[in-house]
Amino acid sequence: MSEAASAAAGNVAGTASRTLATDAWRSLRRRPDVIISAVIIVFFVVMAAFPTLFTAVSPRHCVIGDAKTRPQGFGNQFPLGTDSFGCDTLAQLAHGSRPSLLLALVVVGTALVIGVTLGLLAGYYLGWVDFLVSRTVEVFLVIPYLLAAMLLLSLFKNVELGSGAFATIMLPAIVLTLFGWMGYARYVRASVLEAKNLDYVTAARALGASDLRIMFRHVLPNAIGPVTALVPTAIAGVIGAEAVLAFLGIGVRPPAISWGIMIENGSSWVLGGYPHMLLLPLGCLLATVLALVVLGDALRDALDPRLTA
Amino acid sequence: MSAASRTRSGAEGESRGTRHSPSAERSEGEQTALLEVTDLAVEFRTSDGVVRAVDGLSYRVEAGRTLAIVGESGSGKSVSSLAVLGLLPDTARVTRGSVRLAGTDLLTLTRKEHRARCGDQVAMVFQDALAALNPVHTVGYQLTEALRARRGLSRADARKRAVELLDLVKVPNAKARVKEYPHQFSGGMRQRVMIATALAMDPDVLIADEPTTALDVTVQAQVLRLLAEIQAERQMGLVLITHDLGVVAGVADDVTVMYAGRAVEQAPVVPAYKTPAHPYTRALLRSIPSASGTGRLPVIPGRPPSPAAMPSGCPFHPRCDAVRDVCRTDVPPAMHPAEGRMSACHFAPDIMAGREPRPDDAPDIGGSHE
Amino acid sequence: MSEPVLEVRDLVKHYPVRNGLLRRSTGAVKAVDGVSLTLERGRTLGLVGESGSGKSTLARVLVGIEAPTSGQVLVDGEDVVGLSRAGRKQLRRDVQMVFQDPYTSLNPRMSVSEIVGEPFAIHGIDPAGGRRAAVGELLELVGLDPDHASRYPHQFSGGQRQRVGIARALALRPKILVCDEPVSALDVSVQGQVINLLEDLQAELGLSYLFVAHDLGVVRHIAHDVAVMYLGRIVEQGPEAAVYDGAQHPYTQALLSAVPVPDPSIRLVTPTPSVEVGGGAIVLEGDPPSPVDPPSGCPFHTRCWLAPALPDARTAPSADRPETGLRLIPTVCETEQPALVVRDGSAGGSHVAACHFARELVAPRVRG
Repeated sequence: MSEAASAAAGNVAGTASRTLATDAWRSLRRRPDVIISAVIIVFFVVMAAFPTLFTAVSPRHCVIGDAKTRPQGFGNQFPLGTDSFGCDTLAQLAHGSRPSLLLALVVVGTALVIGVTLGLLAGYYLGWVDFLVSRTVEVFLVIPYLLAAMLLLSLFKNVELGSGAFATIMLPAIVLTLFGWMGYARYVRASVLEAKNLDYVTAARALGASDLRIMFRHVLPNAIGPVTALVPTAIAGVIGAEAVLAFLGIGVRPPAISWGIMIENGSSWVLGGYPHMLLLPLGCLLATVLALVVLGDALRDALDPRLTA
Repeated sequence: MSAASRTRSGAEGESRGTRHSPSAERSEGEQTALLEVTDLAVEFRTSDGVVRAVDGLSYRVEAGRTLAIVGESGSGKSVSSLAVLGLLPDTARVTRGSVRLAGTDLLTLTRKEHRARCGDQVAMVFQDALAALNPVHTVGYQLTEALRARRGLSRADARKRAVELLDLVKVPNAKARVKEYPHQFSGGMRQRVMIATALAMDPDVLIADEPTTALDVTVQAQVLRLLAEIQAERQMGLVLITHDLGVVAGVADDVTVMYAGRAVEQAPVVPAYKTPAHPYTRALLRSIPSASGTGRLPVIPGRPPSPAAMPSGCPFHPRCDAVRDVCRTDVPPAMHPAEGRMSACHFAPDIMAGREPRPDDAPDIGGSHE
Repeated sequence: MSEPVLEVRDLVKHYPVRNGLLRRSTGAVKAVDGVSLTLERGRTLGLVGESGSGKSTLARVLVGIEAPTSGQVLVDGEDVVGLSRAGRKQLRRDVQMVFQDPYTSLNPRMSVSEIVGEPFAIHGIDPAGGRRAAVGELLELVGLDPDHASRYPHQFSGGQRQRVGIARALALRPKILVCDEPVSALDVSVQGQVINLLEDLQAELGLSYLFVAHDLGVVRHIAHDVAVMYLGRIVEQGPEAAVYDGAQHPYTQALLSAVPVPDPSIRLVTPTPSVEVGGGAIVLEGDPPSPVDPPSGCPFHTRCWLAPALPDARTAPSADRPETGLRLIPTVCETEQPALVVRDGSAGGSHVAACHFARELVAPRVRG
């Protein structure tokens, strides 16, 4: 044994061991792109939580007379101009961030849980579970979601939802979640199929591990990678899709405003000489999404033991 | 081994000796090398800085002879052949040396010319035939892709040639099988298809990188026999890259043992196995489990060094059982302890003679060990 | 002879082949087709065969990853097939597995201490002195530094990872270790280290090994007994020396002769290929037949190099068997499946082979 021990000892490079989390933290805080992204996210989260910090004007206080049905540019009393109804753009941006970000968070979060769970079950057990999940995915992919959205609209037409932060986004959240989980389910199913046949899963099975343990301890952590890459773009998609729903009357409930609605409104004024109406909300959306992309990538790398040297 | 299946006949060994008579040919200098690699060095750019994967490798491949390049993972055996073929990845760079093919130094050519030259005269067989063949094209299409592109063969001629090639590598029912796809072939048959693809352009030199590692022993024997037959028939030079010393003994004429990017021993295969001149070769041969011993296997302690953290002096010294002070400080020169043999060990003559090198504290009598 | 720790009786594992829209079963892959084995306490049984011979499936059935189609597996005399859930969990403590590929057999997202300690977590065991100490002891047992327990698999070399896998398998103090090609993915110079470790552990802990490998040299070194599998059946079995030096089945002989020996005076490739006994390597033609539709009679008859040379071989193609009619071989090879019985008493009662003509095979060698 001593020979074997000496043979194996001292071959591992590196210094005293630290936990993965501290390692991740150390590597993350040294990267400027990560820091900038984190600052951007924190900025918008604060804006969503306390919009009044950024503007004293109510987004609903619109000076229609001043606007003369024309949007205003920068300067004047409105730092970022107004829209065609004379509403303050800055105020709208600030107050629109809450429903937009909340909606994105709720929709992507719920869809992830649903999609990942179903994909995991389908890929792990196959058989009739897989049949059921896969066919359901296909059905939801085939139904045009605008059609379903309108159906839902008529269903909820007369339901009083209240006026809290969640109530204003309830309808778009339901529609978008209902049609947002299939991608995750497919991705997870595919990578579970690959991961579940690896030897370490077999080893856990040979040790007598339960299905739950195998799924959540061994399969999922190694299968979730490709899915996390979908999240930032999904957030952008949700914020954009909300604008379309708003058109149909099932978006964020007026009088609440959202980035999606602002983008939708602004797009018709781009060529009329008022590009700021589109570019400002779009810029906020892009900044959020890009920051999430950078953060997500960095976090995934930092938490993968293979990539932390 | 079963006596029924094998004869340890001296006569066979002799006939081989006379058939090739390597040392005789070489000393007369009649045999010109088909492929001659001289002092080749390859570096990789990595996140840990520049790493030298191959360092001063030289070898020659002659018509009708088989050169085996033996080494463990990371020894540089595969990288060196990629360099010869101009197939190195973009992160790698040849920093020194020459690769002479029929008188031309390939490394002075542009990458494109290099590849073109190799396509005609040097072909390669890879370990993983399934990965090396394109799953969406028929075997016949892939066999003749180069012929159609370079030689402008017509479809009908190409089909005919594909059948010939499959016949050549003894794939049964070749006429029907050219229309099939790679996944329809078994592992051994796929490797035959790979060999056929390599033979399509009638190469002078065939480089086979672990061609049988993924195969069962019975199929390995088929493929090795096939390679040997084709080689003998066409007087091709064969470079066999492998980690299996049994395969080397079974088919090679010469052997180059690589360790940590360098050739540590080069010799005809019979003397190399009988009287290895480098401690690494000696230890490798001893560590093969065999009929003789049932006790503990003699092992080489530790593991091959990482190219990013190469030991000082002789790269093998931390694992060597005959290490002396000089090994820790000085890189051993290429020693020639006998005609046609090279060993990069300070004590090559001692190792070859089966003597232990003189201890460090012994009084220096009768000159230096070099 | 010591008492058996593992007995396998008529074990069968068939995988249904499903086709068509209704996924109807249209046949079966006969991966393991009636295997009986005995592993004695503290000894090593080597299991060799080509890929597709069913040796890996057999290993997976024995550690309980796959359920057998039929047959018995007795661990210490107790049949473990069809056990209750709790009983199966106990079996898993008795029989553990070491895997081939040290790069896929360890979860890359778990630290070594989590990997080696997982058996305790699964079985809810709290070893004396705590799990951390137990993991440290296990790592020391396999020759690793316990201080490295918080590292991740990628920080270790292949040989070290294989040691981690062995430590995990030993955590539950099993009686039997099923090793599925444990060294074939390792560098030559590291293989010996792992083989020595396995032998040390056997001596120290009284383990019994079922050692599955295609490398006959390694098996010869480590095994006390050897079983040769072909198409889901055992074709020859016996003490290591008897099988290697006195192979009775033509398949075993071909397999042994195909192994490259590190001796340049024995050429694997002779200048003139021949299938004569004693004339260099016996090179079998073609690949093993499909286990979905194994040949009738002796499963090896389609590739047998010996059968055509036997005096009993037919002189004309068989009319009623056009598909095999090209090979002029004894009719009995095509029609009757040979039993795995003692064929040549001189080698002792424990050396068995499944060949009708094992005696003929032995005779010329004895003369020569």
